[in-house]
Amino acid sequence: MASWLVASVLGSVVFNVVDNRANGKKTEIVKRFKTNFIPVTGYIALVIVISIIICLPIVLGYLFTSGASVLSILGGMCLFGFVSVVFYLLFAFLIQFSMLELVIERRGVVESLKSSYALVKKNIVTVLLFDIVYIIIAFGIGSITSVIERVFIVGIELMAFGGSIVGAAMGGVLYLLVVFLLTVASYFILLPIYYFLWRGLGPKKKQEEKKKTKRKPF
Amino acid sequence: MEGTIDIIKNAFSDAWKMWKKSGKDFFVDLLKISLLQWAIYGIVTIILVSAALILMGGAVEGATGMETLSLLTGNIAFVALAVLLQWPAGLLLQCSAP
Repeated sequence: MASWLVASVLGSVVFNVVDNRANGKKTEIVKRFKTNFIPVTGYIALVIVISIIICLPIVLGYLFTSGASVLSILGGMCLFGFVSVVFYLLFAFLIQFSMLELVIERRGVVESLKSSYALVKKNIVTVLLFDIVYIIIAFGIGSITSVIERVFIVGIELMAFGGSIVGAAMGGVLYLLVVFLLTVASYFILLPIYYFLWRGLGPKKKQEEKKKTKRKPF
Repeated sequence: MEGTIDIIKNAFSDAWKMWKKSGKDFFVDLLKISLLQWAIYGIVTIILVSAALILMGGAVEGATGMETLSLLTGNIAFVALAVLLQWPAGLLLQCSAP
């Protein structure tokens, strides 16, 4: 749990990295990790609590059908579970920019959720269309990476069946390296597109407005 | 609708410009972060798997009665210690900031 939290906070630093690189700056990863630690921990805790509340219909499905046969209970849970999934997807759609608002714009936990909600609500068609394009691209990248990973797995299995344990072990290490590089490559492709959409939708305009107000009159 | 498509197109073209301008540095930054994440998961996994293997080893040996109890208590304490050790790893990472 703690390692997952540390890794998640580290994961939030990638947004700072993309923001800084877009502005031609370097990122001090450990320093950013330190700055992000408390807000991101609070954010994760809040999102988990909201997610649990959204998943409550599944429990309701169980309660409504308690005493019935196992199949009826499962049916009730699936039916109510569907409601949970729909609400969860809606929630994820509305708060999709909240992490960017939290770690880049340095908003508070609740404020970042509100800000993302307002941004998505204001640009609902653009965000929906972008998400469809983004999911198609992500799916394409995911398919390519899974094919490459599968090739390595088959290779390792063939070596193991052929009795070459050392070969299989080396293949395993190579496989981990390939998975690692493919994960980084996926981030590398997808993250900037997502970041620049967010910039294009809101904060950039605010920055330009700020710049305009700072300019001295001729 | 045109405005919508323009915003999406701009997002892709800005991303393309960024890849061209500072793609290499960006990739290196991402490599560093992913490496740290994997190191954390790797260390924790090794500790937990080791603990599980010790636990399994104890069960295979077939110790009974008080021996089993003491073995289990020891192993649970070991797993708890391994889980607790994850926090210092995070703190160490925090404190090493310049």
